[in-house]
Amino acid sequence: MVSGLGIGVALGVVLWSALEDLLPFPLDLLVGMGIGLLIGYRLGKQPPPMLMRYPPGVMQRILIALADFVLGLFGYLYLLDLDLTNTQKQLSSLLAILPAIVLLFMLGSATGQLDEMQRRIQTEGIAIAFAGTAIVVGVFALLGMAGIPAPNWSLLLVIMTFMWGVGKLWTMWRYK
Amino acid sequence: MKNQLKVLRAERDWSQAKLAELLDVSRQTVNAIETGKYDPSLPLAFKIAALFQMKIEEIFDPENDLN
Repeated sequence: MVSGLGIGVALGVVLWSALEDLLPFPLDLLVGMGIGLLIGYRLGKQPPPMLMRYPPGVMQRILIALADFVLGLFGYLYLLDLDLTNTQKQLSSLLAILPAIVLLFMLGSATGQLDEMQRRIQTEGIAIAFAGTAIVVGVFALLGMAGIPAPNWSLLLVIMTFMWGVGKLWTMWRYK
Repeated sequence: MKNQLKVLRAERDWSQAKLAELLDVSRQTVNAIETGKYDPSLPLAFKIAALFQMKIEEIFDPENDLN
């Protein structure tokens, strides 16, 4: 329930941001938060999918950390829009990484509680993500030398997460 | 590596979930061991042997791994 609420608030902020140009304030906030909380409530009531085999308490902590991470990112973007000095902006950038560290710590701690085969699946998934991300970085570097502008580096985070998921699914399929 | 886990489990009329619970691992892990897709660690192999009150080599057969 708590994790559903956390995810709901995070989703609500994302949806609110997406609806900002379409609906007037405070309708965008109400609709965004309403849909987000509804989805979060439904997610919180369902048992975790088979792909996520962490114990429920651990899964709850991960989801809350994930919601904090999303909220932290939006808070950071909000701060950047304010009239801050350069030092304050740099400090905000560094503070925004704290929820990401907490999220990684939660994931690491959760992995430690898995059984030996699941730990192997996670480790191989991370190894595949590492190798895949290295290839993507290499491609971007080569394209950069050919004159193509470098992409937004935050895209790497998305690519790494996607590769982790693919690596995990691939390894799970091997042991199925 | 071949093993007798499925036979031993069937003899006791245990489900994979029941065996997983007794070994404190996931059902997915029990299934992977039974189908020979995953070889358990030494501590888990000892745990399995202790549960069935047998020796490790009576449950797990290295086949030709040593040749």
